Amino acid sequence: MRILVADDDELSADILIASLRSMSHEVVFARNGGEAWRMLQQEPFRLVILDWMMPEMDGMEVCRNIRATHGPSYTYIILLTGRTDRKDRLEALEGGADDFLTKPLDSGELVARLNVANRILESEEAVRRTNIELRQARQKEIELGATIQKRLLYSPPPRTTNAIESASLSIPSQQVDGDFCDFFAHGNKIVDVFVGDVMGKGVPAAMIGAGVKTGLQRCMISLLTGAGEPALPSPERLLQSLDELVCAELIGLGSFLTLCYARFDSSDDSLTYVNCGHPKIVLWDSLSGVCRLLDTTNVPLGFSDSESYEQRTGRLHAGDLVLFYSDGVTDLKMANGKRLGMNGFADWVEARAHLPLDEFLSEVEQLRTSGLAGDATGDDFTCVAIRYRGAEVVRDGALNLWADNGSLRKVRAYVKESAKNGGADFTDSEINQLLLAVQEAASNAVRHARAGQKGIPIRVTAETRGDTILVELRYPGAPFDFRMVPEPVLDGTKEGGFGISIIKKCVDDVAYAFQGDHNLVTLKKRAKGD
Amino acid sequence: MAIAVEIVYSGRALVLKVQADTLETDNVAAFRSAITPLLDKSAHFVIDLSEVEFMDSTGLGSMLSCLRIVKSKGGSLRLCSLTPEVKQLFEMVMMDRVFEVFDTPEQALAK
Repeated sequence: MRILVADDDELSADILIASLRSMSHEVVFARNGGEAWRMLQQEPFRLVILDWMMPEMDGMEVCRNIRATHGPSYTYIILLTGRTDRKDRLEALEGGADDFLTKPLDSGELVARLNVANRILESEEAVRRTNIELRQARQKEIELGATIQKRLLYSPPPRTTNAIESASLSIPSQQVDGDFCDFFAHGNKIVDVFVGDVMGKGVPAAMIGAGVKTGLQRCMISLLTGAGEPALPSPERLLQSLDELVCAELIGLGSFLTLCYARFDSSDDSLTYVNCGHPKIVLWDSLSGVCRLLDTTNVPLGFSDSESYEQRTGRLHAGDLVLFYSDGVTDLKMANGKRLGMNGFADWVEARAHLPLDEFLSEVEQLRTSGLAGDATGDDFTCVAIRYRGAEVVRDGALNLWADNGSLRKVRAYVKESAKNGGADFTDSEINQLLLAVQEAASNAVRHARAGQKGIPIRVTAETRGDTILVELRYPGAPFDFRMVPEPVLDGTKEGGFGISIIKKCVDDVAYAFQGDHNLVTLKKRAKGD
Repeated sequence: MAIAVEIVYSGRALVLKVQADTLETDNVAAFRSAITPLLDKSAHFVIDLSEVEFMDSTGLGSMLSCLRIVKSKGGSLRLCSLTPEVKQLFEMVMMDRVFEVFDTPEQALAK
């Protein structure tokens, strides 16, 4: 063993060093306490033998310094002393000494004391190694749990449906938790979204989450293929079936989970949901720009084995934003020290619901950072955002859509189709003029109807009467009669202001009205064939 | 949605081809960020618009912005290969008087 010996008495130090070397130990020598402490700061020693009385820094002070710093492994300290009274020895033990050697040195006692030191250091080393192995095993388990969560608990949204657009944010508190989320797409018109949160944390919660998620998939398959029920099972029927499958197990495990199951159906613009104790769905209505909280329908799964599930149905509009989230969101603290809560969250959402989903979720992430205020981990934090796009097909003579990035192309396609097939004989050049006018009117609506917002629901109709097509754009927001905008500068010195002039030049008539709470712009173009 | 602007010829002037079928509200920001760094690479430019089948007023605004940047450095910017739809827009707001417009990149470079 490598041993540090500190003694200002050279004769007694020589005897000690010679004895230690004869026992095959490697010895480093310090002439006083100060030198010993400097050496200890440069390299750790497992065993230190200190004379009590030394100039510059005495043995007790070195001892206290060693105990005040926490190195990677334990330092065993033997004090060398001529003192034998009980009070001194108690003081030394309190100061951190492990053992004593009495001067003058007895070689039999030295061997015995070193054997004790060796036994203690070996067992300390074994404990240290076991702790490291345990930590590594725990870390591995956490990583495994995180992988389970990423791969098994969080499924990507389906690509086969156009009815919704979705994005999610999940930040587990201990790197792994029992939050889960999945989608079932039924053709391209119906998509189910479900999110759950298992009580507790860590790998057990993740495993229960994975089990319930698989259970729900099994229920869906068995109901879809069952003899008596060839049709798509309703959310309440599905939850009833899941309850029968997992409720007794959950009660047996002493666990429970909150679950919200929602169906978006673009064939009739409906949202049908069952909410078992999960935080209330936030529904932002794109037409009114107002958020609502949808009531919870049932208690969490695992609370009661005789629960009867009940679903609710509501109407959706293109552009509506639907949010599922965990209580990590509502438990955030606001600047005033109060809890955010569901109503607070709904208010916060209202001002940002028009944003593209990725931008919206990065705002949610910022909300979390400021709401945690120094609490580095916080609670499990999950937010799943769904933008309802609807069928985006002409229904009841109109195209209803959420006009944001990328959707004006759909408006143009619809108007072009209508102009070509409406019976009036438009030239390519006339159709191009019509499309330009529609484009400018629609992008004006997006820019001005709700100042600073990035999306708006628009209803477009195109109707041909004789040789004339009438295109009507209807959208909510502040009244804005763009016919009042002044003429643009056309000498190239200004980059904007052309839109309105283009509309006026491209169509034969522009009408504007504010009806109820909607802007109504009508563009009229006649086929002249020139 | 990203837009590519490709350098298709590099000589006394750079010929830049816009690789998008539209230049409008939805993609004009992407177009600006694609073309702005290229405007440092030369003084004289020809923008080839042969792929662009639809342009709206914001697309037009981005063209004017390029013209202003190039002219402020004493350079020149010409347009070529406009589709009938885009040509119609330019004539409507008299931008054919603000920009030098050519039928082909060769004609734009020759002058």
